[in-house]
Amino acid sequence: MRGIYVHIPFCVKKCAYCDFYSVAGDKTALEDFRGLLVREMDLFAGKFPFDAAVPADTVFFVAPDAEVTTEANPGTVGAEDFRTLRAGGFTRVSIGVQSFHAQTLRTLGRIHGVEEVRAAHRDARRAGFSSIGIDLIFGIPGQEPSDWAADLDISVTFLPAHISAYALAPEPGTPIHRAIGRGELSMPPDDSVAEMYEKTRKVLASAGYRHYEISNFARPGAECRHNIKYWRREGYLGLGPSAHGLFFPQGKAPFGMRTANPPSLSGYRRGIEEGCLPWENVHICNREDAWKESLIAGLRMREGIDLAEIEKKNGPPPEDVRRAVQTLLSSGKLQEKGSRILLPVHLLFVSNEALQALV
Amino acid sequence: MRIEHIRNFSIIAHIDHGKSTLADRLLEFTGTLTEREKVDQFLDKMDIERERGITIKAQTVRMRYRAKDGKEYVLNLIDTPGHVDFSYEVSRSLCACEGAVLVVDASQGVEAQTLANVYMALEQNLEIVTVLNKIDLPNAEPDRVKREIEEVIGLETKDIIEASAKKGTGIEEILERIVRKVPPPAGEPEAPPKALIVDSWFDNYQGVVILARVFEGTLRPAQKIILMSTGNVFEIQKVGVFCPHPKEVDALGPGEVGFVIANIKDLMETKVGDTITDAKHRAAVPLPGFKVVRPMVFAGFYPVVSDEYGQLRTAIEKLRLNDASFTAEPETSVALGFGFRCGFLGLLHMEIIQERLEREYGVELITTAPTVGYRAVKMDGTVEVVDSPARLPEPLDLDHIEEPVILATLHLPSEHLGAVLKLCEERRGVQRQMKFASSNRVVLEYEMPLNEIVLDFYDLLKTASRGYASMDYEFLEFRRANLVKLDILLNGEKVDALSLIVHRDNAYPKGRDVTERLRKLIPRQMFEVVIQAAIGSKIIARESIRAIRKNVIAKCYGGDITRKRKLLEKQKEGKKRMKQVGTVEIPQEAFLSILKVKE
Repeated sequence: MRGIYVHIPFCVKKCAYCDFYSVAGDKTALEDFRGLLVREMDLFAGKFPFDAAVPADTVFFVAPDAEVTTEANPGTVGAEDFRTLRAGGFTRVSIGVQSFHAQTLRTLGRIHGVEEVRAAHRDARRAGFSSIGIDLIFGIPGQEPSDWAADLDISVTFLPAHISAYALAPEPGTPIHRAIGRGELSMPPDDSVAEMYEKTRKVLASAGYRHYEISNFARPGAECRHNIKYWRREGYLGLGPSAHGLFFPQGKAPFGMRTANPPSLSGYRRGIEEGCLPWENVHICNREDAWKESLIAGLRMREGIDLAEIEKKNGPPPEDVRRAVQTLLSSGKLQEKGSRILLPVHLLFVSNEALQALV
Repeated sequence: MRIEHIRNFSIIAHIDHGKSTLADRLLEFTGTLTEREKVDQFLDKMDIERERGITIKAQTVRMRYRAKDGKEYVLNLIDTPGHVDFSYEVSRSLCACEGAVLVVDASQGVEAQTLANVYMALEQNLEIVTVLNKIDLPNAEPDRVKREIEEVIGLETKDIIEASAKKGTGIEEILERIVRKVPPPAGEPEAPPKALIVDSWFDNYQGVVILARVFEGTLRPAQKIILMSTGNVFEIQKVGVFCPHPKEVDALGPGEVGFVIANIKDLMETKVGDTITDAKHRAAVPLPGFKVVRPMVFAGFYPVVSDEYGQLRTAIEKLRLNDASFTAEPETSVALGFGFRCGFLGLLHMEIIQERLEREYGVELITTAPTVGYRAVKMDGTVEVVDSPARLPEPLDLDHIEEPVILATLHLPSEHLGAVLKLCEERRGVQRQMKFASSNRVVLEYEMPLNEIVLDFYDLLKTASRGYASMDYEFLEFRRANLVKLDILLNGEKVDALSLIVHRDNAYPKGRDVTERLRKLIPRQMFEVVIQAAIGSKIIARESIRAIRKNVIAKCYGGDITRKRKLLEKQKEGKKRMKQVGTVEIPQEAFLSILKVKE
């Protein structure tokens, strides 16, 4: 079963930390984009047909119990919108809260306040969404551990099914990165950010959330199924500009094939109008890629990985990968738990130190 | 060639005073170089020489010059190395001459190195032709500099030549002066041969090429020769001269300078300063002044990646073919694995070798802090030469340590005197003399332990004097000193490659300095790293580096795993520059940094 990621590249206002591709778009641009998206799906389905019959008027076969998530930014989605989304088949909403702290929201360049978050959450619930997640960011310039603790406390009062808490990573090219470069803002010290992370784990655990991936927490059964596909190296289509995909076309790429759409509407359009899939980059993975990716993605999950399972899918590991895993195990940077290996919980926030050895 | 028409001379100058440019002009003026062959600093063949603007190996060029008296002369320019590390080589080059052209920058004035070389030339009784160079520069002060030359060096300046090598003015005058003032060499063509080895190098096709100055007798192909310091016999295959390209000749007679090729395979055979004579028609005594050059500074060279040990060995062997003054012995470090303990004439020499190994042979190196050679006098009276702190005998066996002491001559403008005196005192210097060379220039003489100046003294001196001080030094003697071995421990384990020999009075501050420096240099790791400095079993300083708290890719980047992988690969690449010692990862530069003084 494949997942699908659709990148809709329109935003009311770009946030200071965001390095996803987005532009301001009017109604025409949106209509136009919808057309391109449908053509992209057709192109894909034409090239890589499904085994099973696809119902009339649809391009892909969607499982009846599929998780269908939309991102929603507070202040941009109203009650009516949520009802439309729900009626249109969406089952899950992920609200981009980021923070409840006014100054922190300004630093991030967010356009909403606490009230908009409450409204969005209420409206989504009223529209019938039972699976609501909220996204938070911590480790923001100016943010104190106590500010973050307050954000966490407020978050759990919403009783969301899912909480993502990402440590801010200022990406080159974003306004926040430039402001830090100019010395106008400065990142909180690593120790302080690490403290926030520990706080997150503690507060969310005691509120009944299971820590299932480095930055993700969920009530049992409410884990994001789509993101888990990323970590388990299962297939997903990437549609829309800048979207990435991984899929396993039969007989063509046993170790998988990674695709990347161009990060611009014009590039995306050009491809589709020429009647091709708009892939800017295609990488046919080899066994080494498959192993390395399986490890560095899989170890992000608290459940860790099962080497035998990876071996069953991809054959035996390359020698250097096998040796690196052994070294990590013997030095305690990885631990064994039954048939699985995983990162010890105290190393999650320094996981790069261990994962480096596996690339 | 009639001997009275030969002139052998060298050019003496401080770095940057224009020696190589002047040499280029002389070659041009005499038509020795064709237009096509002109490259700046023609005599500096190695890339490093050109880049750093210094001459490492001696070179000679034979020029033909028709003087104003209508006669044709052969002028042999013997270009000398220009750095304090190579002062013995300089002395041998000067020894091969009858005259020297002293080049003084008309704005910079007399510098320590100029002075050292002039004294050396005067000791050899060379006739000096003084040239005031860069006279065209707006900040030239010919009168002040002339006064300095008179006062500081004690040379007459009434017939000084004002020149600009860059613009080509004064060149003919210099050539005329050489012809008139520098005496022709003397010597009997039929006497038992005596030829001085000025330099030698290895040529892949011809073996060792000796650069020699003939004083007595004649050298010619098929002749059996003896190198007098070793007594080894060889047969000459070729002799020739450089004009400037090598050109074979029938014979090299007295007064001539040229090359000798005698099927010699090992550069160790041909020591600079040795005398070549005829195996049968043998000279009774060698030329004076020969000594075996011994390395003064030692450091460990280790490959960053242990697998590259073989590559490093090959590279060192190849370099040694061409530089007999650089020594290398295999050494094993607990911390760094297999490597070499290398000996150098000085720090510049070390840097050159290091650079050549990395640049020409592509070996990535970890260099340990350079140390001088000590003499460890043991309880039983025996003496061990210690070129590595790790090899110091056990304290129980050790009676005392002797360290090399040098005599340093410093030249500086008097306004920087205070700062420089302070620096010398801090470095355990003992003042021997202080005199004013002119109203605003001071000459200092200090006896100083070599280990106090070996790494950074020169840089600090430049800083203390805003670049205006210059220094030269010569070895004096080994002297007993209260020295101790300072060990560095990481998480309780001694790291042999970080040990130092220091004066007991400096041990505590040094220990604190090194531990603090390492704390700043070693990145945070997955566990706490404790850095300690110890003398014997006594801990004298401690620092710790707290465990790393954050190194994570938090975001999911919309399923773009490639991006995550690249980030991790980049981090991994950065770690490659680190050496794993026990469980701790140490950056390469840590090993060299420990000797530096607090910024």
